[in-house]
Amino acid sequence: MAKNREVLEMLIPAGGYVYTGQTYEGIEFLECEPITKKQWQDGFAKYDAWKAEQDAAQAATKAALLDRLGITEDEARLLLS
Amino acid sequence: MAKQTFTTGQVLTAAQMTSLQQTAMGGGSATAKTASYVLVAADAGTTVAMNAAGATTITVNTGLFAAGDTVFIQNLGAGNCTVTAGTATVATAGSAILPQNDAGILYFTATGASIFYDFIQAGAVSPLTTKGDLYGFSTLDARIPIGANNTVLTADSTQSLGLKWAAPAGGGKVLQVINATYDVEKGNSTTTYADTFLEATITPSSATSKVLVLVSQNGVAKSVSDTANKLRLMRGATQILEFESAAGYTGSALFNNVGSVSTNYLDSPNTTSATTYSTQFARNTAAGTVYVQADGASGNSTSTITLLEIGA
Repeated sequence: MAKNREVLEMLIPAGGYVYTGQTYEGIEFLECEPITKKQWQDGFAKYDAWKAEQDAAQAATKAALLDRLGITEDEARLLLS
Repeated sequence: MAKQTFTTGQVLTAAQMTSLQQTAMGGGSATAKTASYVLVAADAGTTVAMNAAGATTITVNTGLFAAGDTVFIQNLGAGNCTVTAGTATVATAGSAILPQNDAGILYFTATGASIFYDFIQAGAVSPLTTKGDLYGFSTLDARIPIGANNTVLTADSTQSLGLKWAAPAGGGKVLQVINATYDVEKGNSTTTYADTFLEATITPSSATSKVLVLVSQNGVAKSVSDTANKLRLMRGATQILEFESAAGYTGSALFNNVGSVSTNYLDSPNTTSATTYSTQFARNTAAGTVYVQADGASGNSTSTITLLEIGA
């Protein structure tokens, strides 16, 4: 199950909040529009799919870049070492 | 009876013999006094009994008594009675002050010299009244009342008894230790400092004491943004140390779990009031979230704070 911090990063990517623990009541919306408790609860159900999308998009971007450079992932890692 | 001069052939009466016997046994009828008194020649061989509520004196002058004469002096009253040298000397190995129910013998070694044998050493009334009282002395034996808990007896010449109870000098010593922990994850996605909720309160026993603050801020992390975690130590609402400004920085958008960030700080709060030390955290760039006591696979991380009062 997703953690509070992961759900908040998904729902409020620009930040502006402080939270304590894993409850909605522990969230302070200081520099952002507050979300409702319902939105927050729904976020836990949506998180896994959202994360999979993010990971897939990141993998696609990485693959496209490697393809453009004409090198493998291991060769890219060697370049950065 | 008073000292007599007997003549050859004199017949002693039964009353005279009884009185002489009492005197020889250290008793005899007493001459009652209720105010300070100057001994006269007729007191030789008699008992002078002082009985006054206030302090009194019995004065000893020369030219009245012969070597070997004695005067038995007793104090029945509540006021101390002091055997005082007038024109004759009064030596003593004990005390010339008779508290109530004390007594002594004044013995003349010459007409102008006497020794006072105080009976106090045979057991006078103790001035002690309460558990923990000590026997002290000013100009006479006196009670030193028990002091407050955790105080120590200290010499002080300004005190009437030369002693007082005072807080122990704690130079360089650890006088007390306070410890606290906090283990609930906190996140901050602003650049404004927020409480980590790690805090401890100490009440220094002296304004000159220092407080050694030991912090282990655990579960420090940053999110998948290019940011870092900054941390500061607070005394009340006052920042006393920013002890970390870039924890977890990677220069990239990678989650980074630093783990522990610690600090040791020797503070001088200059107070005897309850003083709270705490930590705060914030992100140090415009985006991302930073964490403390971050929740890991096996549960939350626990931060600790320890306060040691160090005596000046």
